[in-house]
Amino acid sequence: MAGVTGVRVGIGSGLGGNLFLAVVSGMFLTNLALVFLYVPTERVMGIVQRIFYFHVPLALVGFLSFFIVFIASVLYLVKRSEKWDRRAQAAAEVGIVFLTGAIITGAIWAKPVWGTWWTWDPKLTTTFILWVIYIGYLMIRNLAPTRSQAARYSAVIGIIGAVDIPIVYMASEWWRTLHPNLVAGPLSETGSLESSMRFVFYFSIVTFTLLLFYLIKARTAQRRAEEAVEELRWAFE
Amino acid sequence: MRIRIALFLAAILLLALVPQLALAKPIAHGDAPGESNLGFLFAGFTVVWVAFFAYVFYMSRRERELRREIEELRRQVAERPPGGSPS
Repeated sequence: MAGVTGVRVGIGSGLGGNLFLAVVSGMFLTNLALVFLYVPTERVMGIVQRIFYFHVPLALVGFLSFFIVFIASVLYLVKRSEKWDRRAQAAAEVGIVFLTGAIITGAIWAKPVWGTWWTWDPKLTTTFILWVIYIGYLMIRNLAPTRSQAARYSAVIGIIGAVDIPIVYMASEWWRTLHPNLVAGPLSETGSLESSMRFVFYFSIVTFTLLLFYLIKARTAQRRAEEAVEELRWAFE
Repeated sequence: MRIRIALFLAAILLLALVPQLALAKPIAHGDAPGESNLGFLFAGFTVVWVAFFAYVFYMSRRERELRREIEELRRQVAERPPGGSPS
């Protein structure tokens, strides 16, 4: 039973993990300072527009997380290696946290600007569908009778569900929506975001992306430990 | 080791430079539209922090449960009679 002593448990444990966490935490604090002290107030929407510097990065990084689920799911089905299944599950969990934050902050922004918390606008509806798909992904993992079935079924959902990601991203371009159009990135109009706003926006995206990688890595390591402990229990019984 | 030192120095540089940049520009005051929506702004940021702290708390709890299970397994291994598996 040497394996019992060999199981490592720790969220981002080690000097590298702690240093990375310190850097991400520092960037978050810096991001707060930039959003509240540096970036100018938007002329039309006023102060509430500053939610944009969290809402949009949360959404974009959530999409990135689900794209990681897609890649890891494909690799799992091809290679049948459990490490890809663990990564997919971790990315799905973290992606749901990010996307939930994006939906809620979007609703908080919408109330003073649109006068309503929610509307079945194409952008919001497709985002909600994406959220439901990945909730389903996690439910399937818990309901499947065996671990290998859970991995296979959820990998299929992770691959099919990724189809919604570009639909959500392009919804404000393809359909008439209340939601603002893309203001940054290759498909946005030139000059749609003032330079200081663009700087803070991209800084937020980088900060949230680093946080995403940290959380996925930590949760993947935790899943590995959980599976090792489960196997040890089975072997012992 | 060198990579860690380089990362640490880069982090220090970033943390030192960016706030300097932020504070160099004068803070905009005045009658900005929508000042009364400060409550919504506060709620938005609160949601973000609560969501992340909740998830980190969830991971911490799972870690504690794992440690407890590992300790229990170690104890069971130590109590097992030598040279045999349970019948």
